[in-house]
Amino acid sequence: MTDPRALIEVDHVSFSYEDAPPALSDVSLTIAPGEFVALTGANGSGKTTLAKHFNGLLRPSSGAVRVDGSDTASRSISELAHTVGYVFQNPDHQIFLPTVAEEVGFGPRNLGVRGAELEEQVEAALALFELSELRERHPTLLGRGVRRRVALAASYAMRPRLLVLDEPTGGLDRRATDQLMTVLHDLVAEGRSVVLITHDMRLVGEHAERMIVLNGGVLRADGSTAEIMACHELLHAAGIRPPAVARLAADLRDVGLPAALTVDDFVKNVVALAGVPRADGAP
Amino acid sequence: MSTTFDVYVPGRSWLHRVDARVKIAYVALITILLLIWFNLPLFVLLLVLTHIALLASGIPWRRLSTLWRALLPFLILVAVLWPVFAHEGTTQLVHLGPLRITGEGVIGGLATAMRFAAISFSFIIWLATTDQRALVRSFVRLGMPYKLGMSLTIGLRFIPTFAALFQSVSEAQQSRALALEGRGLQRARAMIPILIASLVTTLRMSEQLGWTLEARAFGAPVRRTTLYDLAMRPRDWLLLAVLLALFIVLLLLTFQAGFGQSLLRPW
Repeated sequence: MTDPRALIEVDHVSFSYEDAPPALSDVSLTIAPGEFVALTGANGSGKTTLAKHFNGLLRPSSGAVRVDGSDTASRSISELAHTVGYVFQNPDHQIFLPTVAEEVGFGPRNLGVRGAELEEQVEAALALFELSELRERHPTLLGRGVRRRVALAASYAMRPRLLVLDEPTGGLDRRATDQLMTVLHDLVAEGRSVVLITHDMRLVGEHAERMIVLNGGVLRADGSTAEIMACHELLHAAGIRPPAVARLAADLRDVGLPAALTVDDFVKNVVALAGVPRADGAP
Repeated sequence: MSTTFDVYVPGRSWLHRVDARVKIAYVALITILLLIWFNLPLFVLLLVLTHIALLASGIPWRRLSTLWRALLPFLILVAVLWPVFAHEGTTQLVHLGPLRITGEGVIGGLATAMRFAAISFSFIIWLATTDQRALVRSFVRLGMPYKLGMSLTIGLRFIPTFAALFQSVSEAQQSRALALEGRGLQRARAMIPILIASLVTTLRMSEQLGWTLEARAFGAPVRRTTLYDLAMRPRDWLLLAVLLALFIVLLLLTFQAGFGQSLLRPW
């Protein structure tokens, strides 16, 4: 049942850490090129465990994970890194080189990129994450938010076909978060895929077109974000609360307001319903 | 998380409940005796008794066999090398040029290996039945400065954390296409990114831990009280007295009557 279109194919995967109850139970899903997927669930629901299967950091206890059609069981992590990039929760777990530029260049170098091409990829990543001015600085001595941007740039510079980000917005201010999201949308526009592990439902509602809900290692929902965000009971059972604006829209359903995931959509709907112009002048 | 450094097995057996200081006294006394005796049957007997005590305290056999496997290479090395260098005795077994092996040498090697095993498992009696808190508390009550005891507790507490950190850093670097294949120098070089990032993160953690300790008034100039203190119960005193009496009797027997001094016979 190999899907030729799938970049990642998770096929009836179960996984347990030693001497523990299963962290994943019979999970099946596929991720296609050009998808922006949010992986959500309460703490300990299996989000990170599932994501670590995408690049071979974990191998299934039963079932199979195929990356670009080939089973991860037979490939090393560093080999899979050609296809799948992974940004860890803690940026300090990867930073070790004396300058920001070298740090960002470490991944591409390991992939065999050299010379002008390496230079170009590093420069592009530095520019995107506003690190160009800090390129000669020692990354371990920079602030936490900047270190996170270094880690993001380092993974971005590898140009993976799938980028997995584990809680990437912790420690980032609003501006840096918006920048990160723009970069992620650009990747998706190029036909690359993004998996975003997050508790931030506002972020999910605004950016992810597809949403996966895990609870206790079991796949509870997988589908369009708009549809799943409307299933309040399902989300509640999984320990997830939809963004405030979605709950507000749901509460006002009886007056004829359609569902909304972003403030922008909500305002649009209200304006359409009430027939008044927007106060901010937006069309 | 499972850890391999800690031999403690939780339980409520009578050995678990004996005051940690009495167990330290036992380890000290039995080690002295094991070092002044040199008698194979006595060492084997002590090993058997030690194992009975450990199993009776609920220490699983699997744990003991793991310890044996860890000790075994060392014990075999001692048993094999001893007769090569110890030439006392008259029962010659092998004589090949400079190599002369005697029956006494072979038995001496076995006895020395069993002596090491017996000492090791005597320590296990103490460590397997004493949790870290009681362990460190006993050191402090025996005169170790509190700050040092606290450092020891923190150090022990953080070993699994560091192991997890190292694992996580290794995963992060491999996700950046760091190849850990290869052997020897090549592999050692591949470890550099992991070692540096682990070290930096560890230093950062220690600094933060120091701050959080100070923020919670660690080292404040007041008299400390403790939530879990050790108390010698009457039966602990009794046990200590019995141990000391037994030690003195055995010591006298050893020096007056030559107990445990000959390789195979008890006297």
